[in-house]
Amino acid sequence: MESAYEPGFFVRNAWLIPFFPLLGALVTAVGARRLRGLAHLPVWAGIGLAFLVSLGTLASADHAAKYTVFEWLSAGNLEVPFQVRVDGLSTMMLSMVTFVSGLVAIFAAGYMHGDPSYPRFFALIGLFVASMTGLVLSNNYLLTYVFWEGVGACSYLLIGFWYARPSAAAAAMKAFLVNRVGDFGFAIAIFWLWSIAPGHDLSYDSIFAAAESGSIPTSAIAGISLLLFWGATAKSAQIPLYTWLPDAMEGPTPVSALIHAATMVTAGVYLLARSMPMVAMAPGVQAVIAATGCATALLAAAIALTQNDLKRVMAYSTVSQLGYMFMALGSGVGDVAQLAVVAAMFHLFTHAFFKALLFLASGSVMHAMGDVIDMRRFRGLRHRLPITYLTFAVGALALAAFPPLSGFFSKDEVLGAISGAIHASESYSWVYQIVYWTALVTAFMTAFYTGRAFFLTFHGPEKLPSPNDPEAPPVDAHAHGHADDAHGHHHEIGHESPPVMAIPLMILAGCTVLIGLICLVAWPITGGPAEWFAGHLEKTLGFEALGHGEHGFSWFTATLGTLLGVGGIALAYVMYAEPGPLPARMKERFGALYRASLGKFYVDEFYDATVVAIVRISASISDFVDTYVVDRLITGIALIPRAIGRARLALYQNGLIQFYAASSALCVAFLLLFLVLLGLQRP
Amino acid sequence: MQTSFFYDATVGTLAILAPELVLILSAIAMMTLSPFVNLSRRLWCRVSVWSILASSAALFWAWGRSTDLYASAAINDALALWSQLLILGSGLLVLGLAHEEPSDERAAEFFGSLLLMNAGAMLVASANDVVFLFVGLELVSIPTYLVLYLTRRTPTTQEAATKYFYLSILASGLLLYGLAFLYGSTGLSNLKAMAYLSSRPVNLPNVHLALIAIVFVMAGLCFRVAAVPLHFYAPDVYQGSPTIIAAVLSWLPKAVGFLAMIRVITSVFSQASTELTEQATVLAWIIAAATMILGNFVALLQENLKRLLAYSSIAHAGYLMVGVTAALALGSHGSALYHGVEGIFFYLVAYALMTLGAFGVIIMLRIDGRPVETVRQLSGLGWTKAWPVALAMAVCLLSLSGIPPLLGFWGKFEVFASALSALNFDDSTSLLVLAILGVLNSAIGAYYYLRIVVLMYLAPSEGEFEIRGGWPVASSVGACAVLTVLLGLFWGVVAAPAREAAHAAVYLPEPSKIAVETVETASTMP
Repeated sequence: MESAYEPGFFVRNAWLIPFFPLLGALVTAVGARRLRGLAHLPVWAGIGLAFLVSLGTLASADHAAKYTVFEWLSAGNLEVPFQVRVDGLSTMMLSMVTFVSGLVAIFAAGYMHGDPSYPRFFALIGLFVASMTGLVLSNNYLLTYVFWEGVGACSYLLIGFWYARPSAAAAAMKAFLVNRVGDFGFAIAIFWLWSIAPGHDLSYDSIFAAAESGSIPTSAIAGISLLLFWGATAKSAQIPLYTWLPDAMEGPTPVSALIHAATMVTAGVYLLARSMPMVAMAPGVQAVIAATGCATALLAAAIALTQNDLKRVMAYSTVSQLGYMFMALGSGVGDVAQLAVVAAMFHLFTHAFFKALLFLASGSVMHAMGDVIDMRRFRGLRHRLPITYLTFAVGALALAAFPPLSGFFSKDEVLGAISGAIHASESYSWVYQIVYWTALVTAFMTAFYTGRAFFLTFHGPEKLPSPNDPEAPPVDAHAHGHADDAHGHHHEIGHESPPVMAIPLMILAGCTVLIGLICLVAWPITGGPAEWFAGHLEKTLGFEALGHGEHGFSWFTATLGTLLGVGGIALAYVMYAEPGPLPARMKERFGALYRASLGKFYVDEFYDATVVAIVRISASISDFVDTYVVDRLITGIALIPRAIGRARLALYQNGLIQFYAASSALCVAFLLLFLVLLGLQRP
Repeated sequence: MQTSFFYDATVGTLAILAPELVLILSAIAMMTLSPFVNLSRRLWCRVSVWSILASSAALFWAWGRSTDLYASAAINDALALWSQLLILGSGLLVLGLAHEEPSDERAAEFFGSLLLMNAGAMLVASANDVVFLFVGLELVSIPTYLVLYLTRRTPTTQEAATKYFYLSILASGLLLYGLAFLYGSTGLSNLKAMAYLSSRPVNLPNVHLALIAIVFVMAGLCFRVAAVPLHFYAPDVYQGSPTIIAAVLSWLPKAVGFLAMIRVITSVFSQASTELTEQATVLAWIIAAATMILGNFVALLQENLKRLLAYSSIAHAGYLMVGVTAALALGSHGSALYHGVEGIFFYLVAYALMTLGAFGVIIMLRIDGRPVETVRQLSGLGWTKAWPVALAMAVCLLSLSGIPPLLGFWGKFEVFASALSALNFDDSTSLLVLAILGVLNSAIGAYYYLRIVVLMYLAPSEGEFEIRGGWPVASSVGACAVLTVLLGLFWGVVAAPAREAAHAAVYLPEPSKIAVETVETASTMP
């Protein structure tokens, strides 16, 4: 069946998608000095061309579409070709990634304007897009892993973009180290797969075929799925490895929008979705995934309720929404498997747009406020920043799942998938029961914190940041000085952003509305709001074999979800639209809970006291052993040859020819004797 | 019928010896003419270069010609061809380095001797008869005495020449004694025939005599390659003689010695009775281990550059002996992933380039108007106007210490890999131990090579450097450094001929009927 497939033009040239941004990055890097303020142009061109090719691949997506670009690795019985897979899942991801990246790159040209390292920023963005598209395109686990590490490295470099700031350097380090923990799981999964895969072939088609035919034992499938999920928890910021993502907001805001909201953090979701034909065969692991996602969504939402930093609210909201995606993925049991993966990917898709929008809008606020992002230091910006206000509103409504915006339909799909799993799962029905109700509660909290951030920023009496503000950090003038010194914002605060920043905002807001409208229009035609999306995703390797369950639109879930969303927004409006005594009274009433939430439930402190402490102690022990045992030993051993040479061997070099001749002859005689004895000794 | 068979064999042999004959004839012509004409050394050098080029042309002419392996004194197999090409190429490099060394009146004899040494080395590479092999070896040795004595008549060079002369005579004596026993134990002088006979199920007429033969032949050849226990001369002679002579001594006799070992020991006895092969392997093992250890340990103490390179040359003889050990242990398994002979050939190519390059740098450099003598004097060379020389030296030293991807690394890799692939055919772990010893020794060796590199780049300079020798020396050194890098990157270029040579060394076709009759008549003779 697969052999009959003839790769089309776009399949054969899909490698151009990572190639163009990479080329753009290289041109920017090489010509940095010459391009200076125009450094964004090569990267724009690269991402733009990649987007066009991605659109082309959308049409030629096929579950069998793969193409070997070149033979890459061949060592012993490990053969890894550079092979691309152009199916429903990858083309959807590619189009989304290149589109959002393009808009963010445009926005960044305005946001990063005047930064001394302007070319470096764009070179890294180009490199990131190349890695991310490569990750999505590759057709085997090892190649995916290579690009997985690539996006990790880009993320590290971009979080630490302002590396002179200690907090940014620390955040970059934290992100990198936490991700290493996850990569470790992914790596073990690959080793395991390699050892059991038929012919040591790590390509997706052969592994899924082997899993389906039963030549991979069930225990191995469960173990590998769990390890893949371990890898995903780091990249996609799930419990227990989510702590790096909020800190990653130290990077420039476009980076937060692109990498830490829309694209890279979805790599874990993508990996599990890609592996769904295998993961769906391990129901126990699925329940773990759903439960983890659920716990993460709830915890992150609870933390987001009280944060004062606008970007941090968004960061925790990202963690929480990723939790929804994992809930959906984890619900892929039995005959709702396909429904679940479609729900997860649909939420990923819509989330990418509205979360990028929200981050860019926050960036716009930050830009206008002279790099202040603390919501206590500004208020009522709706008149000063009208475009930001309106676009932020669209994003916030989508995040709160307000119909008929895109977020409403995707969240509804997720909830539908979970409720489907309640009936489909045999032994873990109760897990999905809990997950379902928790997801609804989380939806309410989502709406509330979104509304809170929105009203605190844009409503109420107008207030602009000033150094005299009691909330302003006292000595911060110099520590935060990067904003003026390095970042180079010298404009007046309180003005709407330039068009280069405003237009991407409007496009993203338009997309958020448009996707909702498509769902609304397509509903009566295709028999379901997201059927158009599911139809495309069905052209994915192995997905046609997943269970096709009956999927009706559940009015109960939709109504309940909408009511909770509206309720959350309403509560936020009551509490925060105008300054009032209510928030303070709530704070007093739930003092302990409030402090716990503000302190992020002290998870970081807990990790510091346990894991980090243990690692630190073992590191100092290793350091001691290395310095005082290993090094001393090596130095000692190194003295031996010298000593032997000096004390013994050099003595025989006495320059006397008679001695040389005699000792040579003696040695020969000895050798002969030795060999004769050796011969005699044997029968 | 036998007469015409022998006639064909003789004519064929003469044809494939054309390259050597060209060299020998031009050397004789040069030496004979020199008293009657008065030419500059440059011109004599140019004549020598042309005769090497002519010899190469003759080599290509003789390419593909073959004779009956069991009847002729010289053969033209892949081992002979590639080795001869290597020797001719290195001969050009040596001429480049040496072109200013002799005085005008002695130039003809000097260059004539160099040509004769090359011819001798090529004879050894193609030798298929013990007598012929010995002639080849002496054709290397005797001109060496001449060259040592000719160039400069100072007390130190005379001492060096004397030492080399007497010890070389001793070694030749040992070798000849061993060859006599070899003949005595087989009744044959043809090496391929000996190998064929010893690979038969029937034992050699007298196995114990063969053991004596192996020990003495090996001992005699150990002198040529500067391996323990006949290594004593190397440091004294290298230090005492002019640098160019030291360069020639560290390269040509070593190549000749190992080619002779391949021809007369590994090819013949690797397929003999298990007991004899085992004893030969043990002998080679001991020599390899002792040579590596002694060379590297003592080299750590050296301050004099030429003495250091002498010990380094001993150490490299040790690494090459690992290849000999592997070749003996591998026996007829030419199909092994890496064959010992392959490793030896590859290593010789790498060694020629890196050691001639290093000596070439010493020839080129003057500090405060005097030749560079100690390691310290090279301090700071990397940042003076002589930085290209420092770069070439660094490349050669890094290659000597076996840093990838330089050619020296691949040489070590091939040799140690051959020892490891011999493990597949041999139950004992002794070869594994030898390979580990070899790697440990390379680590020790890295110390004294890298020390020079560190001094060149990280220490302040101690004097005014100047470069002499003109373009011939510079291009020789440059060729060594560039080839070390390039061939390191494209090592397949060397690996393929090495593989062919290894196959040729153990190649034993079924003899033709007439050859069998000849052999049988010969072996039944008293």
